[in-house]
Amino acid sequence: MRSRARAVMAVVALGAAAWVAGPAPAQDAQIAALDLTRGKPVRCAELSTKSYPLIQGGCVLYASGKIDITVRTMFGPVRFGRCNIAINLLVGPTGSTWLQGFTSDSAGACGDMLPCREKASAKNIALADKLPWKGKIVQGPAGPQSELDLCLDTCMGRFEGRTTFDLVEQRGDRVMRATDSVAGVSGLELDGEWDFDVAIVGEHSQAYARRHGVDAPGFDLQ
Amino acid sequence: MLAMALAAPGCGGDGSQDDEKRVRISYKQLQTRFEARDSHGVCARISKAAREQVGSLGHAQPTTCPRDVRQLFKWVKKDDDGRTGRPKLIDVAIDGGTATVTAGLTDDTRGRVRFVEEDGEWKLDSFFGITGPPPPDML
Repeated sequence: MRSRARAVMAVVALGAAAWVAGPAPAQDAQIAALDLTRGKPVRCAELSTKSYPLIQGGCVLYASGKIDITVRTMFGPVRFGRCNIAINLLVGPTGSTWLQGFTSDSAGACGDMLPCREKASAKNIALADKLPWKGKIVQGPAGPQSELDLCLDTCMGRFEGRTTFDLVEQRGDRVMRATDSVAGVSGLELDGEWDFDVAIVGEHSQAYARRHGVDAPGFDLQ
Repeated sequence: MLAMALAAPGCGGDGSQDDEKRVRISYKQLQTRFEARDSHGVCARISKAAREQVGSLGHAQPTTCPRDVRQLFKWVKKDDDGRTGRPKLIDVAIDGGTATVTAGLTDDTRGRVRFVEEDGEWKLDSFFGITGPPPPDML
């Protein structure tokens, strides 16, 4: 399913420069997706939380790459690991986001990292119930940024807090970059880059899929 | 010694202001003992829960506190000058037998750790700025 989605995504892609976040305050931001097959902006569908924790609608931002994870303590930094992490993020028309998927490689401590959503008192809940994380895309000082309310269970403990990624274009690639970004006051620090692509889901991408004889992305829940 | 004297029952602590001082002293002493790689000194200033936490890191089974803390010494990176880059204490908030310490992690980021009053002393209750324990299936 993922490879089919990527095949669609490769053409129906969104450039970082095409994200248009309006001026502050953040809640007034407007997000436009650029459909490269037509060369014009497309509005992402509204996000629906009717079936929460399953979120419906929106454009889908896929990001993957290696991130250095460090835990900052009162004694100094402890290296957690360099983890290959992939996410998919649903993006609504005004920049609100929900994280719908999170995977990490299993090398070293990276395999000891699971996304969480519930408070620490909720134990043994199924992984499917541990997402999504809420967030938003805002206009930062140097361009659009993705803010995520991160929650990770690790073998060191649970880390929660807001973390920020810059959405930038770099040597022709679209990159989601964290630069020593600490999640809230948890001490969990992320540093690295994720390549990202965006698929426009809903009616538009289904039309594209029909025309090109490929399956629509599996995350299209309309 | 100062912290022990202040912490002794009946020493006339006058509420949260005195507690805040004791937490600050405990925080600094812990950093000093950690930097000196004094595992016994660290163990004397951490709670029972923190001892279990450090002994369980990386799916390990707790052994003795000094031995577990010596393992942690290996994990904490040192700065170029050989020090561990100790975050400075910024604020202490007391709520009953629990204290939340805010420290400066970098120039523009903050972290929080929890201290608890145990056996009449303020002890570190969690090594990392975490918000909860690891789930049982991760231990």
